[in-house]
Amino acid sequence: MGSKILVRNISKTFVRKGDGDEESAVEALKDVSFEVADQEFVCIVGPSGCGKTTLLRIIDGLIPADAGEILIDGQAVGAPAQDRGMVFQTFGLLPWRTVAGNVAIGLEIAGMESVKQKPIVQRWIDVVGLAGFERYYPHELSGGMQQRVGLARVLAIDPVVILMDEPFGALDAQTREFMQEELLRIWNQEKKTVIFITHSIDEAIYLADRVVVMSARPGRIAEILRVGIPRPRWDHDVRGTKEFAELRAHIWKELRKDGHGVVAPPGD
Amino acid sequence: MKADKVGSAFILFRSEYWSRDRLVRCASYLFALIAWEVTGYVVGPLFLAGPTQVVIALREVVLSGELLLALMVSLQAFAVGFAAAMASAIPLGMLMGRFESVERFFEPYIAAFFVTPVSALIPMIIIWFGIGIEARVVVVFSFCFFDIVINTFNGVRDVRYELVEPVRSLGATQRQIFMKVILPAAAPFVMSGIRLGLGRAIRGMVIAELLLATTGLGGMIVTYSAVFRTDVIFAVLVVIVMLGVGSVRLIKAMESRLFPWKETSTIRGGFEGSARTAPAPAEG
Repeated sequence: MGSKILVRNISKTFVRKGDGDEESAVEALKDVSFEVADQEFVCIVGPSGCGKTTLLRIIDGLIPADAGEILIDGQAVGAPAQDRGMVFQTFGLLPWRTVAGNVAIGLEIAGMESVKQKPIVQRWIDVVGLAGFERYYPHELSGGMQQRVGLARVLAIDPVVILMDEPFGALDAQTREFMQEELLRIWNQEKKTVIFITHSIDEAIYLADRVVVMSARPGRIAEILRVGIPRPRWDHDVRGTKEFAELRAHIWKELRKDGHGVVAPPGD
Repeated sequence: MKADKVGSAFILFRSEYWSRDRLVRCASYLFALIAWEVTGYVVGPLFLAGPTQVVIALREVVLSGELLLALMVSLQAFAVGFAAAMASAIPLGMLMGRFESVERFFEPYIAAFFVTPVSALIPMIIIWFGIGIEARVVVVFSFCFFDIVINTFNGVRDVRYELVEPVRSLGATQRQIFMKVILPAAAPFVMSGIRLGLGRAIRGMVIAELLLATTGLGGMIVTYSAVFRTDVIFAVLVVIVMLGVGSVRLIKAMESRLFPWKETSTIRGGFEGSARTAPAPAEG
């Protein structure tokens, strides 16, 4: 397994203009480097303000980095393109489009004929379990279902890498666990490379091959941990195993070192 | 609303048709008509014609063809002025919403004209455009132009970041973002601008006919007030009100047809026509 994504020495500082001439700078990311292997599932955890969302937005190309580079398959990436797909915490569905219309938008942007779009759209609607809801509008769906649309929209463009920014953060606890399991099933079938951001330690351990722990001010990598729990993880009580508990305790301690404690405690 | 579905006069005899809201509404109309009739009877038709006399006068001006003629004259200036306002205000509002420099350039004038009572400009309009149809078109235009600009501008400017970002992430060009996100997101605002503008355009139409050449529906009011025919004046007013209410209703119907995705979760909850939000289906 060669490395699919190479994040190399990424730094980013946000400059905020004050009322007068004063400018305040916030160092969001400082010299962040890590690799993600092909078909690997990597979770990034860290306290609020550690720059994890900024990092994901840089990888997607939504904002530029001040220094460093992102390589995918050895190629430097710039502006957003369809080799990367991003799933957002706020779902970001277009309210005037139906489920099918929302799933199709990436294909439309790529300029695909609508006849060719249809089978692809239907396939991914089926995969995320929304068959029968094709003509529903987002406001007629529950949060979990809306995020399924968000995932199908990204899967439809067949990206090399899927970037997920706290995708289940807005969902209730039960829906969240259900969606985690669904995501693992889809990932198991589709074999995509995933970078998944969360502030929940449990979610990170349950999903990831490796967990990247970040600390804040400036945002940097504190530790990278391998999760050795065998897959598939949905057929037994992973959360009750000794290894899970140890990893959770370890990450929690690591995050507490930061002193802020602004992170969801274990069990969230 | 149930009445639309059944579409039969027999609905009036069904008990479920007479909900509490409807009864209150009908009682209100009945009260107003009776009060009007009684007042008219007391003060005499020279000061206030009652509803029955207004209906008779309406029949009279309809049959003589006078009303239709006046209506055509009025609608001519209205249609040209309103169409010109839409054709210029919507693009301008969009440019202002999209480009900050365009907003900076036009904003002071838009703000100034928006608060200026257009009626106060009518003397200038007479000097520049005379009192013919051109002048009336200009009045209609200036009455509704700014409402449409401001609503379009707000609609385009306030498109939520969370809507644009995912589409940009999918590799959309600026043009695609505009066509697929900003335009459809702003469309309901443009529509409410058109609806507000329409009401103001009708006001402008009548005011122009009162203050410029006495012609059209406004002209009828001036002419008949000179001979104290309050019955005809009210007949014309009824026509103007129906014109305004009817066209606004039409646009509202178009809005719910065009934007079925619009969530209607207002604090009024049960206000008519707003019970459209379907309950979210259960998870799984």
